[in-house]
Amino acid sequence: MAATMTMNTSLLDDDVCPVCQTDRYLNPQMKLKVGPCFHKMCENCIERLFAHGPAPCPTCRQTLRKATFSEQTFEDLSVEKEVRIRKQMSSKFNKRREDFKSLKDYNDYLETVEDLTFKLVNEIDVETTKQAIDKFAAENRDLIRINADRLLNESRMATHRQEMLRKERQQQREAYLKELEAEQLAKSEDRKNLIQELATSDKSAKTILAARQAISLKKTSMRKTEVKPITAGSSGSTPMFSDSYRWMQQNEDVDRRQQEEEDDQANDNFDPVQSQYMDVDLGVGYVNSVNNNKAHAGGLVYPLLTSSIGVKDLYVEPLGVGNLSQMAKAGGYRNAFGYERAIEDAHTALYLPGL
Amino acid sequence: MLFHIDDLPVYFPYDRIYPEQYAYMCSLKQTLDAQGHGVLEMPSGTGKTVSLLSLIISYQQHYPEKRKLIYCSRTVPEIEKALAELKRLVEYRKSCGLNETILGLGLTSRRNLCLHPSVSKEKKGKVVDARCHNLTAPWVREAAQAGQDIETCSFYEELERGDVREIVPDAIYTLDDIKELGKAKKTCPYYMARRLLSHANVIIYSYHYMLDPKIADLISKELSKESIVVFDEAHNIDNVCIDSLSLDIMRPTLEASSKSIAQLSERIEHMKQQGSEKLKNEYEKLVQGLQDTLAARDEESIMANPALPDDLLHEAVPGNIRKAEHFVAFLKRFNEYLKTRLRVLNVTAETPSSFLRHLKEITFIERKPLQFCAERLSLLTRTLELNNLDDLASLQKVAALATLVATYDKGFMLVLEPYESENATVPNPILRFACLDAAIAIKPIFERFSSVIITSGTLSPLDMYPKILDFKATVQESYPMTLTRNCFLPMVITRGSDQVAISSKFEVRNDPAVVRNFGNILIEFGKVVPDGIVAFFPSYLYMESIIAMWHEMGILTEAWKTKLIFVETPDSAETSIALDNYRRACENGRGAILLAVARGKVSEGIDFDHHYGRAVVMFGIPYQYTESRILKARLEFLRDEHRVRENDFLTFDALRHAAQCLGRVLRGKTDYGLMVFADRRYARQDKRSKLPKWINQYITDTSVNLSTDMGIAIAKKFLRSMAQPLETQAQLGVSLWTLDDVLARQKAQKEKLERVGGVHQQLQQQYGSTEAQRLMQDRASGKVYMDVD
Repeated sequence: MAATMTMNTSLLDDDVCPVCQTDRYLNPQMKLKVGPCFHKMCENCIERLFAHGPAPCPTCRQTLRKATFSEQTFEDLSVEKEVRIRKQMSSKFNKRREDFKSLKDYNDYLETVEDLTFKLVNEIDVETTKQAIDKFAAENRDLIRINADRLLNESRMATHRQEMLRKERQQQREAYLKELEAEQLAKSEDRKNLIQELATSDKSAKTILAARQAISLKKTSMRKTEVKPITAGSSGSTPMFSDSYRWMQQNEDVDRRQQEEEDDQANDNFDPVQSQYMDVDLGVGYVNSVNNNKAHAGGLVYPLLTSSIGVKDLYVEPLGVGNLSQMAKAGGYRNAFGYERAIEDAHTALYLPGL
Repeated sequence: MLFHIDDLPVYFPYDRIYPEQYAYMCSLKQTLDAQGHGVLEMPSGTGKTVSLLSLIISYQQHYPEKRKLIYCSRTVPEIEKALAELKRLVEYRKSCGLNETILGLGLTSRRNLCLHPSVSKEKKGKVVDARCHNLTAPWVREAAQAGQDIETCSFYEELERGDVREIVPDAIYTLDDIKELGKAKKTCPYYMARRLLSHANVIIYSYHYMLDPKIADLISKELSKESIVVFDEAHNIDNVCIDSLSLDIMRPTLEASSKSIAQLSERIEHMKQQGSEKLKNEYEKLVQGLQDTLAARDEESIMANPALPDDLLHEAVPGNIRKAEHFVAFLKRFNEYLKTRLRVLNVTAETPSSFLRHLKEITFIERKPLQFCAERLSLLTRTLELNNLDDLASLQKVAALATLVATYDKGFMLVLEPYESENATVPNPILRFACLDAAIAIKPIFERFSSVIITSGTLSPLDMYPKILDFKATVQESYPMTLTRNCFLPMVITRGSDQVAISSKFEVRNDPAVVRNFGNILIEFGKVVPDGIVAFFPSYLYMESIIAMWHEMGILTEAWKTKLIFVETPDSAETSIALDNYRRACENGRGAILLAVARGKVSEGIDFDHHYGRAVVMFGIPYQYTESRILKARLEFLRDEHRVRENDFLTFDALRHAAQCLGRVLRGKTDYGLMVFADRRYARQDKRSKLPKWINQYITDTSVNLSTDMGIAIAKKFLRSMAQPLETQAQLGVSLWTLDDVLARQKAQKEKLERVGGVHQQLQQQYGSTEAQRLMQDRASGKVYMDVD
């Protein structure tokens, strides 16, 4: 996905097609492409020259086809060429650190590869170099195949990891927004109640305000202690990810076709529904804390001080929902949902505009 | 005066001491005893530096460990001030009959210290560094010694001939002193200072020598773990940390580095043709491993690794960049890749790992060699014996990016911005490698040194710094200001005389009514306040637009009737001229208004004491530009990693700058001034609670929701009472202590402690020991449980 973004080459300055001398001023849509002989020309010229099959390159007379032209990635054509050579090389020379006994051997191997590439790029002893490469490829055929599989696996993993991270961040963001929203709601609710109380109660305004202040202080301190469970919840997705990591590593050496089949399974493993389910499981803290905030909104959470020393955490009044039976729980209906529903109901009733 | 804190004799170079200075020293000693880190906030202008130095020097000299003091400050003038203070303190200790040898010195850049006749004429720091390097590089000196006709620096040669410790006797050297000494002995002051660092008892230098890994590795590597590190004026320390690990790459940078790469490969060819053994030697060394080459590093190497020492890989350079020509090709590929990235026309933000993946996909560059890039480049330049290192600056930057991006994954972000501003049509792409986590750069310091003290006039809320810098503070303290008379008056003006609310909130900031009301504040205060007024705006952009509108409204003409008006600009030379003229206007009694910008040069480190500033007005709240992508990324990071809410951080950041601006007016207890917060949002509790304690304690309920005319009435009254002469005698015992007061205080505290001890025992009998302890702590921290029936 990143690849497509960067490959936008529309911004090469002072581009002139060497064949028809068109430049960007004359044709803003001009696209330069590069053939296997590393000579550029614009798309129109390619269409024109190679419309009837293979034809010689106007610069170097090498026979070319339309299909062999590709978009230019680098400004510097020598780098473009080097990268193409490296692409070929990397399909053969793909040994890893694990395939060597010592770091020194590995580094020596890296250096030989680099030497060969360097020769190819700078066209020194091309023939002997090519022979050496072929020899290496023939000798290490099996290892190359295994490593190619590994690489594929890894890149798949990396994509997956990125995806997971992205999801996790989004989740965190949503949780945060929810939290904010709940807080806002609690605040406005509070204010409303206060005004209500000031208007209806016969106590003096001062005592009411003082009582309010004490409650709000307690709430803020409670909110501070609640912050922790959220972190625990958000890190909950990591174990899930590491599970999949292990799973994938076990399958590393399996044949590629089999791999693909299992990949579908792997995808099954991470289907959104399930992951959500798992998240809920792991992230109880997070769900609860959101709920707690909601509960604040209704003023339902009472810090119950049993004695002057010990403080019980929270005491949530069931609000008519009652503890759920085992059966209801098995159906996926959790206590939290009940509270949430009840509170939401209460709110909708509260905010119902008068007729 | 000499007094004891616990058993430690403290020499304080003045006869009187402020109560908060005493309290500050007590907390400082606690921190040092516990070998922990501390966050201490003390009002500006109450002698923070002197109390810090006098306690730490006393501590250092009293105990046999002689822990070294490393005092880091922000600017050269502040370093000079601290050195002068240190010198006075040590003289005082001598006059008290103490016989001790203290070596203390400051370090600053070559540009400030160089004595070489032609090099010292250079204006740019980088050029001085590079030219110095040309004269003192080992190969240059070798060649000169071999009889070739090459210029060397006589000052450096002189230093090489002798032992530094013999040239420099133990004493305190200010920057000028060390330069004078260099002149007298004809040795290089810069290298003299650098070599003395490991011997000195007290080192005073800039933050960067400690925090920037590129410099810290060269300079601060050998300091002992026992040292006491102090960051003064540290309210901006998180930004310094972040800047030290961030990089911006632009198109010209890449062009220049392309050129440098071509130069390198030319030079390699040249060397090969000459059949020089040097490249071969370097290669052999690399095959053997990096350790040997690390050992060969000396103080002359200018290019250091940008990654932190803890994160450096201590293994051999990967095989594919061992040969010089391979490495150059490697750099070229990476550089070209960056060029392609800069061609993208939409904004992208990505993590280092996704950047690396894409890099590998396109150019087949692995992470490992990338990580060694900076190290390998510095090695290559040394092998090639390159001079004029400032030409290589761009390439160095690219290599630094390579190393950083491959070393760090978490807490960093790559942001590509193709256009400079939102409505620009001509692309000027910038690739920003942004560090989001201030904790990364400072972590090695907290880990390495046993005591790190962070102190400033504005550190509120105190728990924010341990959070964003990720450390545990043993002592966190904020000191109120004790005053005999309320010599500063903070007031919050929330609306103009016409009762229209004023705010720099985006929606209303250009509303003519708001702008006019801001203007009226300026005019009215200009009429009642004598001498200088400084007014701060949230940003240059906003200041410019407001000044333009004021001009149209005729507000400027009105203000001119009473005061001259000066404006700060982003150009520092222009600003210093404006400041100079502002001072002159204040001195000759004409009085002036300085319009400045929060976060600008004026708001940091320039004092407006006495008649230079009788009132400071803060127009609006100086929030950061929240649309910046890097800020957004940082906020997200803070939220996810440190559980700091976005709004909390933004408000914290805005208010520390506001407090910093307003703190400029008061530089000592004899001074007086008005602090005007002109924005209705300051009246809210969440904003006020984030102001430093010493400002907050003087914001009364009556002065929190004023209109302009009410504010003026209060200001008039305040100024009239403040203009009366102040008797020093009246301050004694309250805001100024003599030795007797200190002793009395200590006695009272002892008694109190005994009394508390009694209570503790009582509780112990009642509840058992651990419970009693907890209860005591609760009592001490003011937490009292409500009994529930």
